[in-house]
Amino acid sequence: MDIPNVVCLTIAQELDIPVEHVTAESDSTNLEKWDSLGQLQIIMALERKFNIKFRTFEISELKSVRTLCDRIEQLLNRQSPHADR
Amino acid sequence: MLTDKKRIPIVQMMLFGILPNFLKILSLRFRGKTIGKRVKIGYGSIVLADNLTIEDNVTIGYGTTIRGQDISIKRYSSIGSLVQIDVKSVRIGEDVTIRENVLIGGNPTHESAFEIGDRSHIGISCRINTSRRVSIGSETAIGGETKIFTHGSWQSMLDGYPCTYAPVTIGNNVWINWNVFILPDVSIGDGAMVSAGSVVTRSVSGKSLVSGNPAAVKIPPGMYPREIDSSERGEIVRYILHEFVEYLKSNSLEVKSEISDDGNRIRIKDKSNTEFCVYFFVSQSGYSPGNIAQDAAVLLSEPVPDDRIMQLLKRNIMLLRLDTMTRYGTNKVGEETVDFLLKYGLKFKRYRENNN
Repeated sequence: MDIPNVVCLTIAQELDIPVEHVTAESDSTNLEKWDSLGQLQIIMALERKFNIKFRTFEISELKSVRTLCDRIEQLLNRQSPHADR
Repeated sequence: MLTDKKRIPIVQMMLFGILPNFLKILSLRFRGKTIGKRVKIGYGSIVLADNLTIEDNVTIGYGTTIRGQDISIKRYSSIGSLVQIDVKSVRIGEDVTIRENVLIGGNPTHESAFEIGDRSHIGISCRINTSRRVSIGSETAIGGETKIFTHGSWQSMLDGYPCTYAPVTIGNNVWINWNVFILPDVSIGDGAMVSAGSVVTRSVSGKSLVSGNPAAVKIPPGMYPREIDSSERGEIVRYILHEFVEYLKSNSLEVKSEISDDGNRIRIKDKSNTEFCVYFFVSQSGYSPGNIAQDAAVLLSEPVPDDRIMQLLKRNIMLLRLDTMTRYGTNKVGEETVDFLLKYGLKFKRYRENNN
């Protein structure tokens, strides 16, 4: 699964912005609609998309495409350690 | 005029409001009103009603007027200063807090009524118009500067302008943030959240999150809140207790924190060197009543048998059950703990015998 692509698409859908505006460098400081409400929507959508669960206390740290992709990869690898990357 | 139009009952405030508390209480009881124990009605405040019940431990601030035909305020509720409640029928639950400068009333009709459930909260300077019934559930907070209207009328109906009169119903465990505007004929379902500054023009489903002007659904019904793993609950409690320790230390108390697999123990020494303890047990098996200091507070995640509860209460231990969110007993450190846990949304029902 192409994690960065899915993450960018999900962020665009949740924030209701064109997908071209979301890049690997996007984060809550450079995307206008990515506020605390947006963060909640993004987290919940990603949990559904990837069938994972973030920990309550890490949610406020995952405020960029990069950190989200890294964390999702970690969680997916934990679920099925023998899956192909 | 046939009906009373006075906005502020100045005469009664000057004559009756300036009396000391105990005289006010005596006078109300003398006139057949049911007033509980340890009720405090502040300087300049008056309560005027044909049928009045104020239960134990209710406090009312200064300069507040509460006026109506049928008024009932349940135990431990706290109404702030400079509050004006002017509604025919008023029902206030237990442990309700109404903050300063709140106005409840205005433009009365035969259907005017106000009720608010247990452990709910109305923030500073809210304006709640009760032309029609305003009903607020339990454990619900209305953020400061919020306006709730049950009517919309000014221009003449005979000229074709609209005139609306309709009730507003807000469910249980709802969070209305600060500076929200709620229009007539709106219902807000249990567990919903309305974000700050929103204008709510249509009903909101339970367990949803709405935001904006006009308020639109951002997180659909049933999807909010986000579900957390039960394994996280213990971690969250420990985090909150850690914050509690820092808070106590910042208030110049000497605090020692001990953490084990079974739970936490916090030992607090006040200025007179008296020690108080707060315990958190992850499971029942981790504790026995004999090992708990007198006058302590105990947080438990699992059910407790009645005889164990009685043993703890006999030693003036306050018990906080996290499974049922119920509190038993009272003591100094327990009240401090409950007060702090409220900062993280934890609200405890007071145990009532024969009421589970």
